[in-house]
Amino acid sequence: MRDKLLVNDFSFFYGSFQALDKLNLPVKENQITALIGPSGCGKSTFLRSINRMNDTIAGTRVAGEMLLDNHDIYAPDVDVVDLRQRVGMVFQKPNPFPQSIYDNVAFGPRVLGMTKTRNLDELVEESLREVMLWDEVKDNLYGAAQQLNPGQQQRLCIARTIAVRPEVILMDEPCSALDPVATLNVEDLMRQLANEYTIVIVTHNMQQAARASDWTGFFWLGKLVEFGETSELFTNPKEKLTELYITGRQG
Amino acid sequence: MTTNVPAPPKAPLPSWREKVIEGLIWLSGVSAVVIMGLIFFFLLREGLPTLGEVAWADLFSRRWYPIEDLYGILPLLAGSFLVTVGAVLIAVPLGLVTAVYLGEIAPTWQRELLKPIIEVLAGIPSIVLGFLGWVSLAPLIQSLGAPTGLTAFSGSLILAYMSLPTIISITEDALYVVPKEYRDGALALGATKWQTIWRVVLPAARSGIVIAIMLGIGRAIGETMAVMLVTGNAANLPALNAGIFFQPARTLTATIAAEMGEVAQGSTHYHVLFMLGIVLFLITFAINSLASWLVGSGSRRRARQ
Repeated sequence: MRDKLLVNDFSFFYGSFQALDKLNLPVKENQITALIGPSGCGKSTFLRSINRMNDTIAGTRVAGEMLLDNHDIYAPDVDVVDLRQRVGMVFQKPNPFPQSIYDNVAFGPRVLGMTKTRNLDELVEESLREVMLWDEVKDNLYGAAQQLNPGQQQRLCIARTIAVRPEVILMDEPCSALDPVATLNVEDLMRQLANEYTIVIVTHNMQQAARASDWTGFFWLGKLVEFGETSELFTNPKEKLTELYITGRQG
Repeated sequence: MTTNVPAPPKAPLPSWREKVIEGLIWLSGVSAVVIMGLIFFFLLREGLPTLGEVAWADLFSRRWYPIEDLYGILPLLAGSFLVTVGAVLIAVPLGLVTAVYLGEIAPTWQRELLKPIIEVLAGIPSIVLGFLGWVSLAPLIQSLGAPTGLTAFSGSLILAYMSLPTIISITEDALYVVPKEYRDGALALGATKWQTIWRVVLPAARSGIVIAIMLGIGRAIGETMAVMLVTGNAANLPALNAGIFFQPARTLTATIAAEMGEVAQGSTHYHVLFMLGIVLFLITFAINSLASWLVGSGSRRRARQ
């Protein structure tokens, strides 16, 4: 199993505050990696570092390396736009644009110029089928995306993300705004998507991490305390802190 | 030991004090409508007699020359129209671009410096701007080749300047309320900052921008003193050639201001001037209604989908 992403001694600073401290972990290709830990421990900061969304915040600084297919994404010659096409992100609260369903999914391909090489209608349909939303919306593609219910909106956001054909999909607590049924739908979808994409998911919900992921990393106050196969980490954690967290006695 | 739980309190009746306050608020609201109604009624009373005294065909003729009993309002309509259109063509692109710069691109220190300056510029009295235009702008335009510097274009420039702060402020507010989530979503898909602004932020702020433009237009149409000083006040129908903006013109507003002092009360001229007021009123009303409809239809369309 190849390392799609390799993090070496990666640190992150908001001004003088150190949010991430020398992280070392691999993200395996075509696997689901979950990041767990209490609030404020840096999981989301770490996730946003992978597609350099933190660049939009002033005063941030990194140290160490983050290698995507063996190239450091923080190297000066890296094109951030290209990086973000390869590494997509789904946010905690579904955020479809106030446009039609079709235009939402077509947004990425249009801004990246993919329409020159691919038929847009086909691309939109493929993406919606992959997230199992096609049958529900095919008669209303030009309707407002924001009229869909939250579960559908989140699946639409996932469709929008995969329409640009990324390699990695980052998900920042994608189910926290969804009801249990919608949550299960998204988890099933993740399992399907992992066949084609590499998935990294941040979650507050340990049960979700335990049932839906292959690998888990446990964060505590900016440090990676433990990383390993999900089944191992949850049944036989090596670190004391990990055990205290997953049994609910701390954090 | 049992406790006596008191019965839940009944909804309190408004005391007389509450009633007085409600009454005063109602009165203020109603009086605004009543005053508007009275103004409109007054306009109609003084202006409608025109229809009995001047034939329709004469009203829409092409010569405005009250001394010889010629009351054609077309030159005045053309003047207002030219000056306003010119102002909008200058102020809207400039205002939108400035608002986008201030809202999306400028670093904080620049924004904090420029915003108050723009607000201050908005406070300059229009007569001062008109005077500046007369003294400085007109000679400049004349030196650039126009036969006279007092033209519709000069009026447009001054009006553009006056509408800019309105357009900039309101557009910037409209951009500000576009949620960060939309921008993040677009950036995460690989859009550049410009693509995000052009394809997500501006469309999302559409109704606010429309309001900004409409209010800017409303300001331009109703302006009186500044245009009086710089447009040359020649009530002629401008020749339809390339230099259409560089001829003197006269607006509806300037006409009322300039001639009202000289008319005999109750004369035909007097009634016609009030008719001009009615026309202005209707134009402004139409613009505001159009703005409401445009904004409303946007949200109705979204709600229907």
